[in-house]
Amino acid sequence: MNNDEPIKVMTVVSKKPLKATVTMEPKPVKNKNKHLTLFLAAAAVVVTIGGAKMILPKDNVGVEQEVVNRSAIESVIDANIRSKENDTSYNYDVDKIAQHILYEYYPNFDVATEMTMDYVADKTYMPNFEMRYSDAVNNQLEELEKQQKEIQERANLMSYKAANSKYLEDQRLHNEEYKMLEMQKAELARIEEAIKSSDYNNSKGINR
Amino acid sequence: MEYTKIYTIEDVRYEFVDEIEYQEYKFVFLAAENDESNLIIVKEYPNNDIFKLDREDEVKVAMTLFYEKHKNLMEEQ
Repeated sequence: MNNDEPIKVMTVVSKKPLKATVTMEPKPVKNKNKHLTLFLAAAAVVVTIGGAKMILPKDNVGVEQEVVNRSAIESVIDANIRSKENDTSYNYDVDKIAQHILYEYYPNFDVATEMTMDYVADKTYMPNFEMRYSDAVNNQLEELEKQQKEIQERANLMSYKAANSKYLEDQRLHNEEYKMLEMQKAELARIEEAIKSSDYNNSKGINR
Repeated sequence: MEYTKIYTIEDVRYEFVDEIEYQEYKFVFLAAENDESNLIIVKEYPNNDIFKLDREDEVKVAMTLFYEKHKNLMEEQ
């Protein structure tokens, strides 16, 4: 058997038990590893085409198993594209395919993003992808710059308010100081007046 | 002398490849003795009744369990 031959996995509807016997025969297991590999190849196809995410009931309890790897994702992308290759009216919507892959088949989006985007971008029949991807990045950068500007403006305003607040406080202290100086000045004037008055009385020979 | 398990189903002889227990039965993976590309999966109940898989979902579950069990083999290759 060469590698190009399709692997047959037979399934037939059967409600009755099969006419079958099981015997142990004294002979070495022939090509067991090869059979394992063939089954494994078929399993990989079923797992990939059937969906990278499957629900496997285990001990009658639903246990979610995620079968995810790079080749599985790539196969799903290829399968998506292949299924639409003969449809000339179909406008390849890269975003939609990528979104489909990432959200439905690859829940760990962060890990897969870069790799999957690169893989999709490699497809020559998606010439607009890189441009659109680049547009998306630019839009994101513009949005970040806008946010950064808003943050800077808010910081400036807070800084101005803080400075203004300090100025008002300084002014208040200054006014209080000024008021106190005025009071001291008035007190000094009063004392001075009292001293002058005392000197006058002395010069007239008035003694207490 | 080594022994191998032979399943004779509808007069065709299959060599045992692997088995995986699942719910009340087990999936048995077999390869035809005279055609190694002819692979079948059956389910075997404890009373030795043997059924072919009757739903596409069952094939997916069997294959996924097989894949999970042996995926290291694929990575090695």
